[in-house]
Amino acid sequence: MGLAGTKVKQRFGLDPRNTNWSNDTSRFGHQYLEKMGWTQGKGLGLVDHATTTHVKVSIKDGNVGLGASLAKKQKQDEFDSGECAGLDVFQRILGRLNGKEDQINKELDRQKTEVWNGKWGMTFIKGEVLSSTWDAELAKKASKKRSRDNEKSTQGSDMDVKEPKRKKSKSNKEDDKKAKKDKKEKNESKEKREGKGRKEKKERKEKKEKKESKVRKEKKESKDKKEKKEKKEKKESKNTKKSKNEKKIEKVTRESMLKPKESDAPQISTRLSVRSRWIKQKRASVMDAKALNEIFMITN
Amino acid sequence: MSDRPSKKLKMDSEAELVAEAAEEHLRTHPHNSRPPTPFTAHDDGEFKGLTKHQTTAEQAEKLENGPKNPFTGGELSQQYFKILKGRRDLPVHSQRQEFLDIFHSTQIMVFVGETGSGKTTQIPQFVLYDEMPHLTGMQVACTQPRRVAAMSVAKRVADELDVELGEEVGYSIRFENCTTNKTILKYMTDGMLLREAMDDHNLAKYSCIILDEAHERTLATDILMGLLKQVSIRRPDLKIIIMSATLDAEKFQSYFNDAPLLAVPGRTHPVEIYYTPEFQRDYLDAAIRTVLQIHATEPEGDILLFLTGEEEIEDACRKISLEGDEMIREQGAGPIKVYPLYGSLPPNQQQKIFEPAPEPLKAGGKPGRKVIVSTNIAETSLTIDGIVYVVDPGFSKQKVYNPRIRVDSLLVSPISKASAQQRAGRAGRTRPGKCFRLYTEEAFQKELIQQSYPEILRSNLASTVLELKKLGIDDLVHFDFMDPPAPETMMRALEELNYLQCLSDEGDLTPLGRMSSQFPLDPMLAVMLIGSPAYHCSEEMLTIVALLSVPNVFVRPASARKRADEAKMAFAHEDGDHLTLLNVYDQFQGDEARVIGLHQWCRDNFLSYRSLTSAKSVRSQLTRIMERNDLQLIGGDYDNPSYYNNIRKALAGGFFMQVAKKKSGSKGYLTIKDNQEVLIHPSTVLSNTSEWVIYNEFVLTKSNYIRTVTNIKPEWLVEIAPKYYNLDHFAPGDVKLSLERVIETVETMKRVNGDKKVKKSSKSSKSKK
Repeated sequence: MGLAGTKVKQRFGLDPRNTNWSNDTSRFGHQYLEKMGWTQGKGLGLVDHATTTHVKVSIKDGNVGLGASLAKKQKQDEFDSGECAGLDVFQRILGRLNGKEDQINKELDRQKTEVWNGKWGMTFIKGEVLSSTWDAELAKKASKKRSRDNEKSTQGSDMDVKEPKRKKSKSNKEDDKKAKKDKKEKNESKEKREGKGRKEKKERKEKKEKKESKVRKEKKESKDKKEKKEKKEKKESKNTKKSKNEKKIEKVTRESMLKPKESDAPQISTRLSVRSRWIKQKRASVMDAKALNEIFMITN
Repeated sequence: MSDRPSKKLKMDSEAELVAEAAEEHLRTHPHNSRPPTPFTAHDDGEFKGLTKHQTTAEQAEKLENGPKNPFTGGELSQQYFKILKGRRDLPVHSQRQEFLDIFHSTQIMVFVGETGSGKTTQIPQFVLYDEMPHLTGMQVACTQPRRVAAMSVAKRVADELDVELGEEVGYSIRFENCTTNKTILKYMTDGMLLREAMDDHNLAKYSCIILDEAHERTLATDILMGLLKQVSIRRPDLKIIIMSATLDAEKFQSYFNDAPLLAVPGRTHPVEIYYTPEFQRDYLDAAIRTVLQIHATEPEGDILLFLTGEEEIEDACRKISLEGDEMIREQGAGPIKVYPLYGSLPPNQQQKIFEPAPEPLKAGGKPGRKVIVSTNIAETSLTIDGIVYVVDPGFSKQKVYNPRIRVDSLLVSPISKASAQQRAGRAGRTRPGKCFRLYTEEAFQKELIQQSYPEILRSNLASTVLELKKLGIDDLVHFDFMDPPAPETMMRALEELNYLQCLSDEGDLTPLGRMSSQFPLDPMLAVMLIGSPAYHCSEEMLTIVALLSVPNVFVRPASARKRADEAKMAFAHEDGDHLTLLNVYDQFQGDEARVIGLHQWCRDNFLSYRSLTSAKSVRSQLTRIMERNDLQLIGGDYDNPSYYNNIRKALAGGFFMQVAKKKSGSKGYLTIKDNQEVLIHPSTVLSNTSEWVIYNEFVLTKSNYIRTVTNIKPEWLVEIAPKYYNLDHFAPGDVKLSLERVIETVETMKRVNGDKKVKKSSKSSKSKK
């Protein structure tokens, strides 16, 4: 929650974990267990996996789904808000600029007509197939065998046909996010990220961003626009192999949205350096979810 | 016991004195116990030629084919043969010989079969035809974690064997014993078998014990497993079968010294699993949308949605029906029927989930669909056919116990991977299905634990420790738990029992402890009951205890909250909720209620008929235990000016460890000794001015609440439990100061009244002995 969120005050007592009790070794229970041969810090029983502390469960407040904490960790930059309705409209514009107008319009219209899915807007990715609840061995093997590519090919195949998404839906944006993430991984940081621990991540992120911009500048000079486009198209074709049309379009648009950032900037920066800064600022605002929503006057 | 130094005697609580007296009385004047009726069994030589532990599946099937019933000698009915045919199609049947081979070769075996494989009904029968317990005067026991399951399975098996329920096949659950001297196969709750073991450490009357649904790892099953492991050494003739429905069978195997395993594949179809690409901001909303989306886009097949609690389920049901109706109107979708399913739902409404899906609105129209919104009872215990889609948000309500602050709470927490797989498996019962998980695959891998925590790690162990002591297990540190509980939990239990004087300072069972273990209650409540004759209110205490051990009697429907609260206030007693409960029960038993009709009266007063009637049966069961232990049943002393004070004192006799004191200058309370900040739950009838209260439960939600509270006087506490209120063990603070003051006044009062009292001392309760 940001500043607008409701303020939740939580008060703690003097000793919420009652260490007063647990540190007191003169208690009957403590004495008795020690008499029976237990030593502090050990578990009970005859097995070696005995627990030494009680089961701790954190109180779940609200309806946030599983994995929210994971998602926070993965948040990559300030553009990665994952809740940007304005992107739809933006995608349309970019699509037009990229000459994909028909394709995108068709997809957006198709989704508009299918009110079902637009209204419910749930998206799923196909995972493993469960054959029997107890043959864990089989399930394990199956999941190991399943390579990443395999997963991608199944992803979006039947599920997306049955449950297509509408751009406005939340889950879809989340999908976008994933696509973006994938791309990023591929492009630059995959190797780096793998090698690093979590703590480093944050610091690295900042550095990475700086690096990226440097890299970008270098790229700018060396490559011209056409090359970029070709490259992009290659990627698109890769994507088409991997996922079905709708998914692909999304990726394309997302990419196309990011692409200009790299391809347009160099020319401008070489010619008009003052202007380039201004454009950069604009672009940043365009990439920001809230700002975009404001620009397109979209209220959720 | 009588040669104790008198100084120590002074420390004994009323309950201890009562228990000692009752035990002494029992010893000197034993009940003229009837000799147990001898075991009778039919034997016309049907099983001649068969040797125990050498039979084959073929021989057994020949006997099953009739024409006479080998266990009763009667003609077998048409119905029997019809059922028999179905039984022969069950997955377990094809492996009958294999089962027998392993059964013969070992003392302990592990059997794995999915729900629906027929293991619960068939395996005990396979055992019957092999053990032939009726010829040796033995019994076969099969335990179930739930009472309902024990009852319904026994009924089913009685039908399958073509015998009367309660004769050859019977059941035994906490408040009902449906067995006779003819019974050879007994379905029972795991808790009941544990109780039997307390009196018969070797379980001598059983030739085979089957622990069913062991994968649920209930507290009683866990203790039974530890116990049976010991008994198996003492009784090499006892056969033990551990039955589980899930994959963690290896754990059972290794626990029982690498016992052989037999797994019967179930009839399951593949289930496709789907994950969301991102986490859900609102899993409830996502769940509802997923259900509607399935209804809108997927082919025929019923939907099972797992949610956490009653409120959430009812809410979701309402929303799904509303949206579903709109879909029918606007989109021409098929009809949709939504059923809730949770533990406290009345049985007739629980049965509704088995109704078929609604018919299409018009012939050839879109098929109807049934949606069941359930807690995790539909995860393992209940099998609903026709489910093709499962929606799993990944949460369930779980009981957890924190020994440090002594809170037993139900909290929403992530399920385990094993649970998630179990849930998914529910979709493949009738045909290939789909499971929609409302979390990412990454969350599944990283956020979910492998196995759910067994109950023993999540519970208050006070009554378990008492049971273990009664089972003759003294070394609690080296008892072979499958998953040993946390040391602090064990300590808390020991300390509670010590303060209640169920355990002596040496850690041995006291007479009070022995007697408390007879009651199927929390030791605190048991001690309270045992002590109640000293306060002349055992009848009242029975009522209160019975009402505290059933689900909440007050109903508060969302549509009529205000009226329900008003109805409750009509029963209110100014001193607190326990006494209010007493009022409710008195009026429930009164003439007015009888004239109006109990059902109607309960409806009018926003009370739960089901809870009240089950309280009534609990009460009569407790009364029987009181009688058996020679505890006086007295009460109804309305004319006594201290009638209510006596009840409150008796309450304090059990609840002296659950006391909270009002904090000065705030509406909050502080629990005594544990120093936790709490609020009184808004459901109380007590006005917020009472300084000292006892509470029945401490619930953990957004803020900490104490529920069911009654106002008491601190002087009583110091009198009743001087050991617990020994100020040396108190942290300095407000509570300690006020207790010091209280003790001081008590002392001075004693000194002032001392001289007068000495003469009258024959009247005081302590000298009664």
